Amino acid sequence: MSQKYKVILTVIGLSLISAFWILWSSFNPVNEKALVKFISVREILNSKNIERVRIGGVVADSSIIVSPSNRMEVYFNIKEGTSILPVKFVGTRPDLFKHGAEVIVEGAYSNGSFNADMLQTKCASRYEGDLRDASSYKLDDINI
Amino acid sequence: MIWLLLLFLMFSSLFLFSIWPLFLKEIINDKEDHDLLNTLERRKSILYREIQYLDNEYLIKNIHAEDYNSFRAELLSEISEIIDQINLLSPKQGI
Amino acid sequence: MIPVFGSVSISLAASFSILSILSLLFYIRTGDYRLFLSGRRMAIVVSFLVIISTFILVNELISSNFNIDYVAHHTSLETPTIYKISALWAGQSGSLLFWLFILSIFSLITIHQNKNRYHGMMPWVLIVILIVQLFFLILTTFITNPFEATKADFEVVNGLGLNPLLQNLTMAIHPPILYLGFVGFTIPFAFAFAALMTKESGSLWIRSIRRWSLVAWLSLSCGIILGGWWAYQELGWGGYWAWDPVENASFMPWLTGTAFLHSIIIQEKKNMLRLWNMILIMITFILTIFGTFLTRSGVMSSVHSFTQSPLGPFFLSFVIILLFVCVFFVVKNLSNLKSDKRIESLTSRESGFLFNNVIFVTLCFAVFWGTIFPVITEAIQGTKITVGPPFFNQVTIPIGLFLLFLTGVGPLLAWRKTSIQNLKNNFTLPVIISLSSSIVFLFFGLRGYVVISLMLSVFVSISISMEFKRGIYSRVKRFNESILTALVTLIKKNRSRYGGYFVHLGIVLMFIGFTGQAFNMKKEFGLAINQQNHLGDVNLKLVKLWPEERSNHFSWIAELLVTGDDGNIITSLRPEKRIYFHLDPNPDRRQPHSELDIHSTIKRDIYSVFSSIDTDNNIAFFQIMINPLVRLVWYGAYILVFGTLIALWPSNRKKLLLQ
Repeated sequence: MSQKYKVILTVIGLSLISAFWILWSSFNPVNEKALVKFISVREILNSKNIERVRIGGVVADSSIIVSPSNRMEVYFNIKEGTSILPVKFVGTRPDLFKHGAEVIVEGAYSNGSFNADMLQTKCASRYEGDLRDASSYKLDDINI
Repeated sequence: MIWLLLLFLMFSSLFLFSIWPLFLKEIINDKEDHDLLNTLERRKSILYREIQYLDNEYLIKNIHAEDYNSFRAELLSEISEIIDQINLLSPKQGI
Repeated sequence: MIPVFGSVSISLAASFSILSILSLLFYIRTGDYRLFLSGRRMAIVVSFLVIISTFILVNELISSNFNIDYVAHHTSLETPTIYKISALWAGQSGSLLFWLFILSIFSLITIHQNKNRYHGMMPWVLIVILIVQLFFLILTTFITNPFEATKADFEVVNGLGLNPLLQNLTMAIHPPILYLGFVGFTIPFAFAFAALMTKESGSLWIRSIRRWSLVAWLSLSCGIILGGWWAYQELGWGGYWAWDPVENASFMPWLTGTAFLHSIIIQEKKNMLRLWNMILIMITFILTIFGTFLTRSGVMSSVHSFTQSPLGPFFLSFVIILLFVCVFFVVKNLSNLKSDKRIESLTSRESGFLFNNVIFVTLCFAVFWGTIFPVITEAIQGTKITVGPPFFNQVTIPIGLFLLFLTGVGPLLAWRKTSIQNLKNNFTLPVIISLSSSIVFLFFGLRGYVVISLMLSVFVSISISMEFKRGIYSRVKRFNESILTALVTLIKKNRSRYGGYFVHLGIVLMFIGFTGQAFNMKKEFGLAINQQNHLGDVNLKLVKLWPEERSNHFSWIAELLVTGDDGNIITSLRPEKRIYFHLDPNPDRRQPHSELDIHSTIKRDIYSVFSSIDTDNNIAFFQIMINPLVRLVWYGAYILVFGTLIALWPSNRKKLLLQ
């Protein structure tokens, strides 16, 4: 077989092997953290126990409670519309984690509550929201 | 008011600048051959470099004599073709 | 009144771009050279107007004109001037104008460079650039106008300002450098498209494209690495790459761009692979626009993404139109793209380049697949699936290692064909040394991908060293030069090739650095004064803990004494827990920020994060990480930049001819 065809065959072979590898990995992820389902708060409240899942929502006001016995442990509620899900997370909390922050958690859901081992907040690329109005902003009070 | 005027002035001057060439007498563009010439010159210098590289490879015994000779001959014939083309375009050029 | 000027300039630029495109199209139709001159002048006007508009916006930013919505949202009176300027690319509409600004400068450079040549291609080159400019001009005129007036029924005394987390130099220059890369690929694309339309096959413009692509590639590389460096230094999760959709958006064009840089060499030397190169540069350019779509549309959930914006459909439509147009014209001109030369041997450098290209494209596809997988599964199944780093690593590591392997194989192959004898001569030493090294690695307890990665790094290093040796040896033999002189002259006379080898050495170093991640260690714990904890072979003792009030924030500072298992002091770390706006009456406005401290050596980084503090009991909580070999990633990056600069350095061609 001429060299040209050998080359073409090798190219096709390499491409097919790679494509197969990519597709195979999609159905055989190396661990449960590779491909994780992302569902809404409302959906999870209506479902049975799930081994690993990702949820996104907003931290409900006045819901953050840091465990007095273990400062790494925090309890809070994730809110989406009117659905509320209680979450427990153990680990270092991101700087932007506070009431009203947009968060994403990953972990196990069982018996109506969520045990998270991953907690992420959205990157603050800028302040979002309304402009400070004249009365709420006083240069002297906020010492900058 | 004055801003409107300035705006109008800027727009007009830019517009005039752009359409100015349309009022010139018709121009025949003869720059095409320059491009071709430069392309050929460039191709020639690339081929010379290839020959240099080939010589080096032969010197450090990376190529067989037969391959070396045949590749070199191919490159040289390509170069002479190009030189012919260059001479056709501008007789004063050439090696 | 001046802001209106800015807005009008943009609208005017849009009109001029349409006029210019029409003028150039008519020139192509009729051949009346005056139409070309006029169209070219209009293109200059377009760029000129964009530049003016940008200067106006920057001026408004610096002078804090809060009547402009963009200024009010992205700066405040307290923002340092340099960040007022960088606010130009901090927000949606400003960054679009900034994209236009860079493209306009590139357009002017291109016009100037080619004043007296390529008169066949230039009309098409300009048309492509103008169409891209027009797209962004339409967006900034009608959809997100940076000069929009502030909508408030009170007088805005001060703006919202820039988040202190983003007020550092790296964050400020990371976007412009990335944009130089993204926008930079527009020019090679324009030339390639022009060559397609004019059936140009000459090699002259390829040299021009190659330099533009190299500059764009260098910028993109720097931008990506800077992003990783910033994430590592500032964000506190201890890593530099998260396979986030926005990161992937910049990585994909980098991959195809790298492939293009390689295969364009073949086209320049041997006039082969023309169809392949045409497709590659088109894909690279389309990926830059697609990447912008991913980043801005809100279609992917990412920690980076801008909020949901109406821009998504516009970018997606532009991408689809570009795809159709490119495919159409490539198919139409297929016969012109066929090369008369063929690859002659499976074991030739030409086929090595081709295989490396195939792998780069495959890698790009793998990243692409992982990035849009969530969108696809949502569309088909209705459920959203998040694709995490483990998936990307699982897929890309083997492919990346194979690429590393090819990097070593390339220099060992000869052009056109490598005889069996040569294969034996060239491959024996590198194969033996790398296999022996793998035995050593296995003996030390290393396993799996780590061993393969290190073994291949050895293989590539040997292979590249052999190339240097060959070149030096031939000069020494031919011209009797000393080894040092030979080395320097060799590099000077073959800047592309040897610059490229330096880049490869940089990549090898980076791969070794990446391999270090397999040995990362992490631990979280709390310490009271004089308490200690340990991680790996390192002990950390909290010796001091004190608060400090500073000009724009409040800080808790912890001093950790780091000692080795043998008792020797390694270093003292001082991570801080800061609170910006700590005096703001609204507690949710207070902004905590962990200022990391890292003790960095080649062997490993000791990475300390002050997570939180229990002020009642005076206990401080830390996250400590030991990250081996991270430094090699940055060193590798320096070498990569160094190598590229060598390749870019202008050479004196006349001298070469005479030699």
